[in-house]
Amino acid sequence: MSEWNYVIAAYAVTWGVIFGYGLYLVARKRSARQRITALEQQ
Amino acid sequence: MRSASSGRDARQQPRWVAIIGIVGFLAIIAAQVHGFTMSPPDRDMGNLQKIMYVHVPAAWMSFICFFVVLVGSVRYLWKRSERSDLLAASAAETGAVLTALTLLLGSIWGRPTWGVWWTWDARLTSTAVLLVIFVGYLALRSFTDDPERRALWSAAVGIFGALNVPIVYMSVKWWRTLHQLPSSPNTLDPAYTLALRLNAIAALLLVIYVIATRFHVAQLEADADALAERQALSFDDRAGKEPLEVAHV
Repeated sequence: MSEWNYVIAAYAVTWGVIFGYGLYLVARKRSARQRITALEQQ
Repeated sequence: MRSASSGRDARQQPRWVAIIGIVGFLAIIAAQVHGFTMSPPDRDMGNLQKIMYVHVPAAWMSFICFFVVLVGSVRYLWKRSERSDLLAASAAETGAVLTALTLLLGSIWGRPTWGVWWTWDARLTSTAVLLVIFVGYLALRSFTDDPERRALWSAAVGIFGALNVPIVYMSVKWWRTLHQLPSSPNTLDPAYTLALRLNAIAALLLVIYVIATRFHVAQLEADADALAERQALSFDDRAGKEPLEVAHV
């Protein structure tokens, strides 16, 4: 592999982690909010 | 233990957090573009040097996260404040993600420069131990239902894990194995210092945003647990039964 392939792989992994963890946080926040709303409506 | 929900609106995240997130996101794009376009190839490694702009800030930011874990854990033991426990847990999760990222990036960098994806070098091994400790910390939190016991045990493991950080940092000086000495603006060629500084500052902004957002999520979840517990207690009061235990999610 050329050196650029390793560089591109490193930046792809970095952005994958940034977006992946960001989506995970959004999903957990939405889930917690929905749980609170459901509990308050009971 | 004081409730995380006391004296705040659990639904809203402070506006400054969103501003830091947007600025951090734009800053990291700008810093990476600067690193790609303005810094010259290294004499020995060529363009592989550009991996430094993500690998080194990820490692530094994981250390900052574990320092926050240390502060939050000590403060929890001192004040028994739920906010401190949630802050430590938020920083621990972010730090574990960053440590895993550091190891992955180091592996991608190591293959073309050292010829191996992994070796039992002192820096790599101590970083892997750090990751295992904080994965254990997160597992401990998910397996313990009682909030006070969870916070107490987490604080103990968090302090133990954070005290491992100086060992990771000094490992390249104490045991001269394969990993190079720490990269910092003082040890780098001036051609690379600006790009490294810009990437580190941008990463710091993103990490502040992520920890604050994770902390907000943890507060929402604590509020949901407290609400569920109150409703279970009031239901059992009406039914004249012993209250049911509410499992933490």
